Amino acid sequence: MRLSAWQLLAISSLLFAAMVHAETRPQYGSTLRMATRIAPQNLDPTDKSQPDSIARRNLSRLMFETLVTLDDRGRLSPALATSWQAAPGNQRWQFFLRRGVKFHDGSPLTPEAAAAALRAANPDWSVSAAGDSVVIERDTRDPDLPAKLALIRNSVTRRSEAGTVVGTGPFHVASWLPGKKLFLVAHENYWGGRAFVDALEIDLGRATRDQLIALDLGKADIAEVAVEQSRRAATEGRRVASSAPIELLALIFARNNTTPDDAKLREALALCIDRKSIRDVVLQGGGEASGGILPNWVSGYGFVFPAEQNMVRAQQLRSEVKYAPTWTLGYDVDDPLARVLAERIELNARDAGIRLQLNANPTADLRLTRITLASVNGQIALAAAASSIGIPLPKISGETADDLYQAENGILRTQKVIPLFQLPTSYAVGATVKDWAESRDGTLHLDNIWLGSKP
Amino acid sequence: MAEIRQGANDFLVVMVSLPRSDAPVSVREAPPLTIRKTPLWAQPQPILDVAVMDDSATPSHIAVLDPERIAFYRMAEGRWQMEQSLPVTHSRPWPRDMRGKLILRQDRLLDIYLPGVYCQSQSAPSLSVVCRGSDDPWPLSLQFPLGGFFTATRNFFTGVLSPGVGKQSSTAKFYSAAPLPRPSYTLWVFAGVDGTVRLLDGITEQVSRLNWGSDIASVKSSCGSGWQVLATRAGDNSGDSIRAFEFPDREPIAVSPAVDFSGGVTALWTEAKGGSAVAVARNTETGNYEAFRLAIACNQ
Repeated sequence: MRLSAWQLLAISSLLFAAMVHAETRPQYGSTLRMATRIAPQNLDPTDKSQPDSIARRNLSRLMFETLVTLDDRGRLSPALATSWQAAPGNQRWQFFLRRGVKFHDGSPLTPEAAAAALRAANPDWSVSAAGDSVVIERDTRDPDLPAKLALIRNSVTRRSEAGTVVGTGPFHVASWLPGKKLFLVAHENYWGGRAFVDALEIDLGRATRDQLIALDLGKADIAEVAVEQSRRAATEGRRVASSAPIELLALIFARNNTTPDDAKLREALALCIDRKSIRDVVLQGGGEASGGILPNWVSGYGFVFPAEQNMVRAQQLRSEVKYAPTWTLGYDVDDPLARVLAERIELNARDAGIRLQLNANPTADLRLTRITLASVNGQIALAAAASSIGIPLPKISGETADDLYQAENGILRTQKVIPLFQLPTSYAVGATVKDWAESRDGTLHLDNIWLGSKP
Repeated sequence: MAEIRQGANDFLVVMVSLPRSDAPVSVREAPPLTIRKTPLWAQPQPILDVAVMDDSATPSHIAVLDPERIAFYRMAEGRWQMEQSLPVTHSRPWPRDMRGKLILRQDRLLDIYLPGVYCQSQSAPSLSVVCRGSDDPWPLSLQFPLGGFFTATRNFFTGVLSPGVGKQSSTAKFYSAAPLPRPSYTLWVFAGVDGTVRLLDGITEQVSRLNWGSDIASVKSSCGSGWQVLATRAGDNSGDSIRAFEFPDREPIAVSPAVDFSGGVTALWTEAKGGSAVAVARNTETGNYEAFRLAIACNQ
């Protein structure tokens, strides 16, 4: 029997349909199970004593919100504020609050409550309530103030009568074991619409390897994937999603460069590191070798800072220095990648005639450090990176890419930091997780996720 | 049904109910119909529904419903020009997967159904929209009166029907429904939240898995059996398509090639006169919501 084209079309379409599942529109319900490496001891997003990380920010965004948000192109979007305006000179800003928003304890979001939260997080700002708005005044012009308000540390929080910090985000805390487990439940009256999943069950302080095992066993829906594991995780058939590079891995010197010899040794160390090989072997092709502080996708000029190895020049510089001390190289013993990287750097340095001694002591001469991109706003990100490196905030004369480049170049010229790699964050996502979305800047949108049936 | 023999003499007859098998392969040896797709409107904000306010084949006056407003546009000099935009007021937050339906009344005014909210446009003293909280059922069809209660905080109908299909006053939770007239009754097709398709004829309920998506609508045409069901494709939202089906008996037969969209279909509603439907899809490249009028063309 010969099939007509129309018959073939009908049959093939039915075969295709049989391979997929009927679940186009998001479904409500179920508990999303996930884990994270971090083990926060408190959930207050304004607590600066807790280490900053993408994982911590994503955790905070589930419960807390800011007046505005930045998308991954650096564009401002309304959040708790629906509109805003600046007076001429950009010193005085006014943010008009969204109406009808409630904190998780049921109290309304008022301009007074928002102003109090922002004052507490920024003691040097003048913040006041004015009608249905919040007014912020600075001593000097601050065109980036809205972008600063998008930082998670500027979340609008409130202390409930029970003494806990509550927010307005899409999920509220149902139970919390500091550093161990967090159980969040969907906020039914969330202004942006109730999340699709009923709850999030988050195990804290879990190694990435354990997370992947839990995912494979069907005990988790989402697992963090270390950069060096992401390629393998994908080739083994898992669904892996990654952000753009958002974490700088760098060597940071404890002391400032003091002598010409010291400057030559620091330059020699920067030149001798074979970032390409380390990336290929240790990072398994993940991340990007980098000679700059900001990732190229944020600055647009990151490629101009050299990241190639130049052993000949490194050895030449070393030979120009009569006496080279042995530097101690510190790393985070809890970071499984750090020791391997430190060993590779030590080998490269030895080839250049520089002696490094690996050391877990926090007072080492130089330290392998991760610096998370603070914002997709280059100026804010660079200022935060300078603070992490331990140098004064750079003076940025204007708002152009050239101004930013000059400031970043100024930081690099201090030789306090040797950038190595820009790393993404990656997740393995279970087959039942639908509408997964991770922005380039690593922001997860877990409130938009829903759980479907298994394929 | 099975007859099980145990030993020489004992036997047992067992009858087990099972859902119908997936996706019956049915092919019609007939010229296919075609779905004609006419662009109506596109915008960055979600489009819940579009009502074509005039009777001409080429729309010249439309109303576009989004979660916060209804906007009226008129075609002038080859371009859509906004005549008026009226806010849709609501006291509680909208569901995340927002849905809404426009019903063009005989008097050319509009009824607007939104989750937990009902609005009416009024012409005097000037055009306005008045909204109130409401849990009244949404009309599932104007040609075959049946209402469905929509959840105020979710994206589906509860399954409770008003006044019901014959003796059947409810079905499982569903996303969308489509009537198909029969000589002595109306067969109702429901796209269930659980992925099943349910057929209600007033007496029996048949449950099938057809691998359709969440959104279906029926349209009247001058070809085939006279009414076709438009159904979205199952699967994720990376791209979507709609195809026309007929139900000669209780099994669907595809009667048109699929018409493709550049993203997931987010709304599919039959228009007031029943001869066409409005489909909205979110273009994955531009991020815009794009509304189209879909109608059946014969022998093309």
